[in-house]
Amino acid sequence: MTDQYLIEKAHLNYHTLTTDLPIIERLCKKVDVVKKVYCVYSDDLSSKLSDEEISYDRYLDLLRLFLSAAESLEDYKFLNTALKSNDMLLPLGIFEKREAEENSLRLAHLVTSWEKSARGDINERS
Amino acid sequence: MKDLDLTVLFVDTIPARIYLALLKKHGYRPKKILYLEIEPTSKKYRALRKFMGRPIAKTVHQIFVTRLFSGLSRKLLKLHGLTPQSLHQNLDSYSKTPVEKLLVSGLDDMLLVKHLGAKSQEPTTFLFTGGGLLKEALLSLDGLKFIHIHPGLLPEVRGSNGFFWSLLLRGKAGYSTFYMNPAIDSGEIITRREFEVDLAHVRLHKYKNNRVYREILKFYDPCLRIMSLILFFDSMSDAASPTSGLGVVEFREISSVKQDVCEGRMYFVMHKRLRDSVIDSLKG
Repeated sequence: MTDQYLIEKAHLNYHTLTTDLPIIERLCKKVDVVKKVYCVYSDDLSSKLSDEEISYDRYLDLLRLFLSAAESLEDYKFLNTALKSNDMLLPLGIFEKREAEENSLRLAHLVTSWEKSARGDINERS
Repeated sequence: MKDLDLTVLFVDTIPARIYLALLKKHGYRPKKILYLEIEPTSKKYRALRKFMGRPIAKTVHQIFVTRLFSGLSRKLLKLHGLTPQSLHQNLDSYSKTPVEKLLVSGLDDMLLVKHLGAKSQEPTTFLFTGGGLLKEALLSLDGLKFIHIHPGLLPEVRGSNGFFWSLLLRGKAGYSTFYMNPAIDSGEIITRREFEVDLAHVRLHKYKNNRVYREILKFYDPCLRIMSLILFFDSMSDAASPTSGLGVVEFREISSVKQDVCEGRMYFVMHKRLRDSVIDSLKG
């Protein structure tokens, strides 16, 4: 399930559809709680059907998917998991240095820009 | 004092002591306190026990866990009219009947299940004060109900770090009191409430974010948790007719609302970067 799904999402440039949301929610739990993602799960992603972890390339796809979902939906939960995925992947040395820096900057930018927009909303209301 | 038809499942932590102190301060007295004496499992405690013996190790550990108060923790407690001294009154003074003690290895100890199971002919409502997870065997005992005050409006905000997620997503601290069941944060809801959080008087900017995070969770969030329940008791007393038994709050008479488990979202531990942004906004 996961391997194939992530390859398909990479082909679609990680574009997030409504039908992806329950899947991304479930994948958040894998990263946040289990801290590992396996190659094959049951259809609803509730139980793993393989003991083999996804490859580094798929972990990168997963991070890009969380980032894309966070950005397009302005969703803090997905942003939280993207931040954690980035931390998880950094020490593995699988990013090129430039991509690692870009990811960190992009994530930091999201946090600060949403903060500003939230403060703007509050100011407008008051 | 109004008597609560409630037994406090007490594990000796600051949040549990805050629950008892604020209940007392607002004129509520639980029927009973069941004090669960749990031997710590940390490496530091085990090292202390090895060199100093169990009684001294326990005392030293307890001093570190519940008796040391920083300037920030004192300020946070003061916001709800509490002092370190008010958290350390004789436990018997908080409840109607003398405290019952039970030595267990943890909340998952089968001894606790057996102990409560033997008494379950008598319907009892317990107030969970933290200290671990309750096992399904305990939650499914006939006649017993366990209530938990969760930081976060349910079903919208389930899971961990509810105080910080609530502030980030809703701009307020939300709390839900519910009957626990084996699934996470999905039991029937008794009451929900949101609070504005204004910590301007505390001068949080003087402290590092990690410290603010820890102290809020230990000294401020528990105050809001129990206040959400106390305000609910107050509203029940206000609504009661003059002829009804005003002196006792009966949990069995309180209605609760089922949650739709498909609604809401489960949130996980907040990343430090996001947490810092919430704390920075609290600092103003």
